[in-house]
Amino acid sequence: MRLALQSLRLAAADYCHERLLSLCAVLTLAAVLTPLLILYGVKFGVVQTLTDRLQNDPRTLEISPVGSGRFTPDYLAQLRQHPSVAFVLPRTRAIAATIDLVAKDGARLTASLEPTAAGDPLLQRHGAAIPALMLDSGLHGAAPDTSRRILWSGVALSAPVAEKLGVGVGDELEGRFERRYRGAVQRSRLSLRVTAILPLAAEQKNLVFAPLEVVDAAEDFRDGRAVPLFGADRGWTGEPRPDGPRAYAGFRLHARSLDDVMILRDAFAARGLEVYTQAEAIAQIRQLSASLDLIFSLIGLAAGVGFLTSTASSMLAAVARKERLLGLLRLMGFSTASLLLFPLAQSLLTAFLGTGLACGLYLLAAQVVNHLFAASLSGIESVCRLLPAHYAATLLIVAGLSLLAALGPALRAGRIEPSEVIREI
Amino acid sequence: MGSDKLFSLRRVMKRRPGNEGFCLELESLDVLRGDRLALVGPSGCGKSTALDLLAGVLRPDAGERFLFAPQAEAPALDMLELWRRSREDRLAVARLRHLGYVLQVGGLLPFLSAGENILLPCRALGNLAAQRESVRELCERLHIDRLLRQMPATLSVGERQRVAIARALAHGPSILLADEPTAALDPPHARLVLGLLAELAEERGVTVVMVTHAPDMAVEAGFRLVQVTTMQDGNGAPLSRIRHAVQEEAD
Repeated sequence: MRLALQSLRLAAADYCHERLLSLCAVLTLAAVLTPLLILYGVKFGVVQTLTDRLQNDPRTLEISPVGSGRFTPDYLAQLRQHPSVAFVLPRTRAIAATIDLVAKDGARLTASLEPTAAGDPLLQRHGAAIPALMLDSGLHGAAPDTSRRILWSGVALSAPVAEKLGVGVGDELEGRFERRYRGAVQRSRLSLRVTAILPLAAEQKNLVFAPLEVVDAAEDFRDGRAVPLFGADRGWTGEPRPDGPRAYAGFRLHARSLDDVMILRDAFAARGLEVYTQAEAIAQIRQLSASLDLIFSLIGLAAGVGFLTSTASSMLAAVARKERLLGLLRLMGFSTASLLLFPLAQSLLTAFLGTGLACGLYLLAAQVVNHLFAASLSGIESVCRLLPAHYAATLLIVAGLSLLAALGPALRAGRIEPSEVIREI
Repeated sequence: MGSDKLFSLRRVMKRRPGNEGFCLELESLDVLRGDRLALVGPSGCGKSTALDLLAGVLRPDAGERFLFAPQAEAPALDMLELWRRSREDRLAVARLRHLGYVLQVGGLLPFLSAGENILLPCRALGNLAAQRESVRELCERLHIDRLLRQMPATLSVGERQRVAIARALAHGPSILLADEPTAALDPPHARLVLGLLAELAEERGVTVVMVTHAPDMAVEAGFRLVQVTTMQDGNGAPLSRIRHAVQEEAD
């Protein structure tokens, strides 16, 4: 033990004494390792950024059925229970889900209605408040015998809608619904208040996000039915709704993760339901990641083999050069095992210092790369990025390869015959 | 074997291959405790080979007896048996504890200061604390106490040899082997250093076996000469022989 420690101490002293040669070894390692780290950092950063973008874009996780079906609230409640499902909301028939908007200054626009509710990932992602209904019962002192009535409804507008109407958050609008009923064109009205405006990135179409009740009411009205909650005086008249559960034409579902999208798509396919997903975009990134992994593995393998052979040969040369010195230690009484440690320790020193230097250079390069691409990045995204685990793995791999490379030379050092080397000049 | 013999060898053979190949036969070599022996003989006759055999770093080809008794009270090591069983690490331990070796030149580690070179055997043995005072005195006597911080490359050849002698004696060995320790020095300096070596060895009860080309200087320092004689064997190949037996007393 004492000899082993002394051998390590001597190895370190020799390493410092030969600082120029040691520096060369460290630089050689860093020269191999730095480009690999940058390459891997870029690969990891790009794939991670693309994946994060997909992951963070609720649209990617969105699933909706192709064509229209008949989905009962029970069925949707079941879907909601599925572990892969984050959010589900029904959709009415597209043709019934339109609304005419009239601004205070008279600007008009026809838009599509999209139901929303608490927990809607699409609105949450963009920090938009979830619109709600405002009832007048209690608040506005309606007589107890009159049934509850809607005063107004909140709506979240897509950017094009807000732009075309020239309205902002807090503004009031009037929503109008038209139907042809028993040969006559009829209209109903609903007061609206803008609670949020989604950015253009979130939605490019003319879309109005409203509480499900509003969308349900629009469909009922167009089916010729009365919606008492919305007020007969505002035109919401017609036949009473038949009893029984409503059947929705479609739904909007958000999966929990990219993997869940695949799971759900397969589950729907198994039930014979065709759905729209972003599966292809997800698969493409997966494919890209796998291809880059393969390319990187090949480059890493080539570099690893190169490093192994160059380290082995330089260690062999070092042991040959230090034959006499090692012979002197052997003559002094150092054991074979402690002499083995001498080259192994020096190889490890190079591994640590070289990896440290390479990581330092990588960090500099990563700064430059990320700075260059800063314009196309948002927030915490980076083009070039490594996790602490990557640094740890790098150190382990380099240390392992260094020990492996130094093993042969070390065994040679252990076999040195002092009588053959100590008198060489 | 009497415990007064540090080494006792009979018919130990070592053949050295190559151009200057020869066969060394230690027909008999007894080294008594406290002896100061100087091996003399023509160049290439195998004096250094004999020294390496004694140090246990060279495997003998054959032999009848090769006993090494570094401590009077402990049983002797059977070196032939250790070599036969390839117990090189036992030999290494014996070297570490009991042996000091001075080479003609360049026996110092270039990456350690003179002081650290001297302390290395003590550190490796773990007896630094016990030897510190003795090492300090050694350095004073060898006039190297001011050089201890310097690296070997900055020392003169003479200074290096004195540092090497200090290192060989620092850990308190029982035997000092020296291979022409003063051959690289000018004669007055060599005489001085050799005298110091002999004096320190005597004071510390260290037995010395030295190889030298300067028999007169060795005798002057109190060494007894052991002649290596060269001849030709039956096939006309060179043969070197050492014959230095001491009468066995009791047995």
